[in-house]
Formats: sequence, C-alpha cells, structure tokens
Amino acid sequence: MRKRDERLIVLGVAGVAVLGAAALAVTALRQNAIYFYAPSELAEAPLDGRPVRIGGRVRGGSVAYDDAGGVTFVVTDCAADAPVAYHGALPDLFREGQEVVVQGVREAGVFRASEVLAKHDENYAPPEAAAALKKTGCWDDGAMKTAAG
Amino acid sequence: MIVELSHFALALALALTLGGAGLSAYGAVRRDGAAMAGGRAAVLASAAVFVLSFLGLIVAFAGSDFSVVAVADNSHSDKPLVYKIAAAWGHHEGSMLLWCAMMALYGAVPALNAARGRVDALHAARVLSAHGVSTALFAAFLVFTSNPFERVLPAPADGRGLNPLLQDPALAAHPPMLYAGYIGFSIVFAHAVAGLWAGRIDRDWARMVRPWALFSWIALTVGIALGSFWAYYELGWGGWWAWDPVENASLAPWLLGAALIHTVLVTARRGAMTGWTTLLAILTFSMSVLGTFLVRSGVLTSVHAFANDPARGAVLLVILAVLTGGALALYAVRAPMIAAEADHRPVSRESALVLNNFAMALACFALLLGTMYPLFVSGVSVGPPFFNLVIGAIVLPALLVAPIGPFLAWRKGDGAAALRWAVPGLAVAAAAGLLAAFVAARGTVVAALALALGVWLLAGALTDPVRRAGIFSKGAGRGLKRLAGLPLSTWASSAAHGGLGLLLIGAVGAGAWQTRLEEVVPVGGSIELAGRTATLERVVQVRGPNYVADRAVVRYDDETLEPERRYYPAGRTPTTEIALKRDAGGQAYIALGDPRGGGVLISASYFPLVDWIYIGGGLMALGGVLGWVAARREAGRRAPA
Repeated sequence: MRKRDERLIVLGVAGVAVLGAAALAVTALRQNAIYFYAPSELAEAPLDGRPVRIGGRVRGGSVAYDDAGGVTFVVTDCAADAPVAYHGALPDLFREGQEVVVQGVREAGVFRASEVLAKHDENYAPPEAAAALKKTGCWDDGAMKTAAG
Repeated sequence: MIVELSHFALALALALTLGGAGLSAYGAVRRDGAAMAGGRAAVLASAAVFVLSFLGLIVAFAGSDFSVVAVADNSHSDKPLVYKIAAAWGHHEGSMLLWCAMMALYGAVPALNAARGRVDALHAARVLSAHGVSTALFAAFLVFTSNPFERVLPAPADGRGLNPLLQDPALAAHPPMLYAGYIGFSIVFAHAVAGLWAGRIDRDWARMVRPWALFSWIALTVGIALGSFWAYYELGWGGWWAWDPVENASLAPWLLGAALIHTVLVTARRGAMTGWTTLLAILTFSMSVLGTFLVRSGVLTSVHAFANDPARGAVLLVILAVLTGGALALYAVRAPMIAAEADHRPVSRESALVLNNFAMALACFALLLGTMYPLFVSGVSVGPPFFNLVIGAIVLPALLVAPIGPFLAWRKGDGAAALRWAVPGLAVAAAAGLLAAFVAARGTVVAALALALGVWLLAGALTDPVRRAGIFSKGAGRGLKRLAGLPLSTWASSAAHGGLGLLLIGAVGAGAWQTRLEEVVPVGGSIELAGRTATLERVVQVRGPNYVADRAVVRYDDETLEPERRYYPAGRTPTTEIALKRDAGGQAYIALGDPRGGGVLISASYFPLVDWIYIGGGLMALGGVLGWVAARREAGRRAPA
C-alpha cells in the first residue's frame, strides 16, 4: 500500500469517527437536556416523567416534614407557587427564603424532586433561580451579595 | 501597613512581570545577551515580590484584619488558625493572587535554568517573553478587577465569611494542587510559543517540554483526586464525580494534558507528530484558562460555584482569546516550518498513541459541548447520562487499545505477537465481566462492560513488564533480574494504565453497585445496610472549637460510627459531617440528618470498591512521577543545542 493511500484511509476513518461522535453527542444532548422552568411556567413542563428543573425561592413557612423522611416545601417566583415533595436529607445550605434549584419530575399537583442543589457559599444564588425571580420582580437585591469588592 | 506594602508589592510585581517580558522579548529579537539577563532578573524579582504579596495576604488573614474587605467577607475570628490561613485562597481575589504567585514562580524556573547555563539562553528568553505576557495578563486582571487588599472603613467588628463547609483540611490542599496543574501548563504553552517563534519544534524541544507536561499533569491529577474525595465525603456535593460544570472544567485540561504527555513522548523519541504536539501544548493551557472562566464567571449552575461576577468573567474571556488566538495565529504561520514526516507503519506504537490522542481530544470536545451547552441554549442543563454515554463511547476504543500500545514497537510493531500477549488479559477481563453480569447479577450490562474494561487495563499493565523482562522465554531467574532492570518509563506507563483500570473498577463498584438508604430512625432503632446492621444508640451534644454539634453514636458491626451535625454560631447554617467505615469490600457512609418525627433522619450508603477510585488515581499520579523522573533524565542527556 502506498503512503498516500494509507493517509487517505486514516483520514477517512478519522472523519467517520468524528462524524459518528458528533451524531452521538447531538442525539444524546437532545435526549438528556434537562429544561428549566420557573414556577409560573411549570404548567408548560411535560408530565411524562422526563426530568426537569425548577427554581425560585423557598417560600417562608412552607417546609414541612413527615415521620418517614419525606419533606414538602413550596418554590415560588412570587407569580406562582410550585409545591415540591422530596425524600431524604436536604443540603446544609437549604433554607426558607433562599434561592434554590430542584431537579425532579413534574406530576399532577406536585413536583417530585430527586435532587435539591446545594451551594458552597451562602452568598451565591444559582443563576437560573435568580433570573426566574428577576423576571417576576421578586428578586431582592439587598438580600443577596453577589460579589465582593 | 503590611496590607499597604503587599498591595504595593502587587503593583510592583505587575510592573516587573511586564519588564521581564519586554526585556526578554527585546533580548530574543536583538540577540542581546544583556537584555536577556535583565529579563531573567526581572522575572526572578517579580516571582519574589508576588510571593511576598501573597504572604502579606496570609498575614492579614491570620491576624483577622477585618479592615481588609476580603478578610471581612471570607474569614471570621472564630475560625481555627489553619482555616483562617486557608481562607486566604478560599475566595476569588485571594485565589487569583495565589494563581499569579504560582505562575510567577513557574516562570522563575526557566529563568534560573538559563542563568545557570542549563538551557539555551535564547530559547529561555523566548519562553520568558511568552510566559511573561501570560502572567502579566493575569496580574493585570488581579490588580484592576480583583484587588485582594481593598480596605473597608470603618472595619467591621467581625468577619461575615464563616462558611463552615469550607472549614475542611481539603481546602488547604485541593486548590493549590489544582492550580499547580493548571498553571504548570502555562510553561508548556510558553515553550510552544518559543518553539514556533524559533521555527523549531523537534526532539530537543520535546525533551525539554516533556517533564513540564508530566509535572503539570501529575499536579492536576492529584488536585482533581483531592477535590473528588472532598465532594465524596461532603454530603450534597454529588459524590466523587457528578459531571458538575466545575468538575468538568478541571477535566478538560486533564484530558488534553493526558493526550499531550503521550504525544510529546512520540516527538521526543521519534521526532514525529510535531504539529499536533505543539497544538496540544497550546490548547491544554487554553483549557485551564477556559476552566477558570467557567468557574469564576458564574455563567453555569454548579454545586461548587462561589460568589462571582460576570463582568470579571468577560475579562477572563478576553485573556483566553488573546493567549489562544495569538498562539494559534503563530502556529498557523509557522506550521509548515515545523512539520515532520511520519514514517511509522499502521501497526506501531505511534498509531496506538494517535488513537489515544484522537479519543482524548474528541472526549474533551464532547465534554465542553455538554458543559457549555447551557451557555448557548438558556434554561437547559446537561446531566450525567449525557457524559457517561458520549464520553464513554468516545474513549472506549482508546481504552481497548491502551494495554496493547506498549506491546508494540516504535515505527513498526508486530501485531500478531502483541495480540498473543493480549490474550491472557482479555480472557481475565471477559471472565470478570461475565461474572459481574451473570453470577453477581449486579448493575447493568454497561457496568459489566466497564468493569471488564478496567480489568483489561489492569491486566495489560501487569503483562507489559512480564513481557519485556521475558519471564517466560528467558527463564524465571534471568527474567526477574531483567524485570528489575526495566527502564523507568515501562513502570510509568504500567502504573498509570493500571491505575486507570483500578479507577474504572472502583467507579463501577461505587456507582453501579451502591446502596442508598434514607430513613427516620428512632434512638435504639436500626437499619440494614449492605447485609449488616447499623443501630442508632444515642444522640449526644458535643462542643467543638467554634461550633456545637449533635453527634449520633451508631453501632455498625462492632464498630462505633459518629456522624455529626454541626451548628456554627457565626454561620447561619448547620453542616453535616459524615462518618465512614472502610471494610474489605468498600465503605459504609453514614450521615446524621435533622430530627424528624420520632427520630432522626439517617442517610446511609454503602459504596463497594470506592477506595480503588483513589488508589487508582494515586497510582496514575505515581506513574506520572516515574515518567517525570525518566523524562528529566532524558532531558539532561540532551546534546547541547
């Protein structure tokens, strides 16, 4: 086999591999992208068991525990409330009145959370939750210090 | 006073960095030895002044000088001293100062080597100009947007930055180690620019660069492993690996760095793949800067994000564009000059390494695609299923070939002989996979395949030294003697590949075979965890240096485990300190939650084989260290240029 042919074969194989990887990545992105909804948009979220994220503020006084490890709370963007049900330990930085992002599945009447995102830093708000609150005018700038200096 | 001096030192260091870059560049263009020497002196001075400035910040933190904004925001008089000191780099401004000080220290090494006549002064001057420009960009970013020495008047009575989650030994070690990796690649980058500038990227160049690439990659590996372990034992951080954007940001340079340490070997030994090696040398550092941008700009939602500012992110993006764009433009102009003819056959060590590089680069691209997708399509996030599937599929061929690569000779390998040597390892791997899938019947088919792949990597790593020593062909006695005499580089690749195999095995165990329970347990009650009984004996109150805690006393199979829930009066939130119990099969992981109903919430998990993730990571780093020692020896033997 001549050198040129070899190089063409290698380039051909590499090209096919790149295209294959790209096709796989795009398909996987479509199937696995998790969409974000503010509580007031939650009615648009699918009910078919696909995971989605919601975010906003944990409404004060809405957190309630049961005896079996379950917890319910309300995520609000002031315009609408989304009741959330979760089982297990909440992250340490979870607090009433604080911004939160929750991943889970929308069911009729309740959002069943599989993951409540914790933060390293109490001065940090997840960008999506902050954006959702700003959209409805619910954002409180004084409560959140975004950056020092 | 110290604060003002340190602030002044910072400005002086920026000026010295600029002076060092300018003099070095002038010296390199005019071949002016005096200017080159002046450039080196300025680089050394800037490193010293940066370090002094950083020490000044540490003094301010150690002494709780709350008139400094950074101290007031990020520290508290209640903290133990070690965490006051670590808080100096536990926030944006201070960590950027650490970054700059480290970068300047890295720059001091080639300056010293050139001053001692160990490397060619002209090449060093080119390296120092490129590195000086990079350092100056970051130093300017620090001085003009992120001043760590800003004062606040009047000084608050106490700090408000007691983040109990960051009161952890890992904070002292994880960021500096990670930075040592990220920033080490800036020297590799500078060598690439210097080589392109001279129009000479050859074996000598690669021998010079290889130790730097390895050193940076080792530091990055250890830094990521430390972070991974931290995220594992901190409840709610997603476990040892969650494909979180901040985690991914560190994996991108790691992947390209891993590709680089393989391809720079090809260039050093065979003088081939010069263009690709140069490109990787540039892009690996670009990935480090891109990661810094992703983490600090706040554009992505992450468990690990901290307070940040999009405006600063924009500046980092400009730095990224200037460095990468400049280097790539130079590359485009010089590429024809540095091209080397490939002379290897399709079946050869080179081909295996090409495949490795191809897969690593594609994996890095897919990683960035998934991580940055939410930047381009707002309101979307991409989770672990995407990364597991796509990156798994992309690296699969490379992992299959990784054990065979070392069996093949440079230039022209004996494929049939290599496959014969592969048979035992493949057999063991297949048996392990089948065992996992059918006998143990745990996890998914994918988990069984990944386990087999891990065993295959491990078996290949064990086979290679045996094969090279000729234990079977030359008799055990002579074979063992030859085994002891094998070159360090053989042990390096065996340790690193074997470590990767162990990591994969641990990942399958801890990921696919894990058990998780979350139950409300009354005092005296118990739960079954992985075939053993955990009994909650009592919950007691204890007092720490700056916190009070509820401590659960849990009897777990003759052992007493004591997970805690801590309350820091100065912090507003409780923290969870989990308890770990290691046994031969894995680790039990028990966390104490809040009181619920008639008991307390206990989160209990069992992670089989999880230790192997960290043993594997450590072995990979050890492989890197062996390779680094070997590469330094080879660089020392370099004929004078």
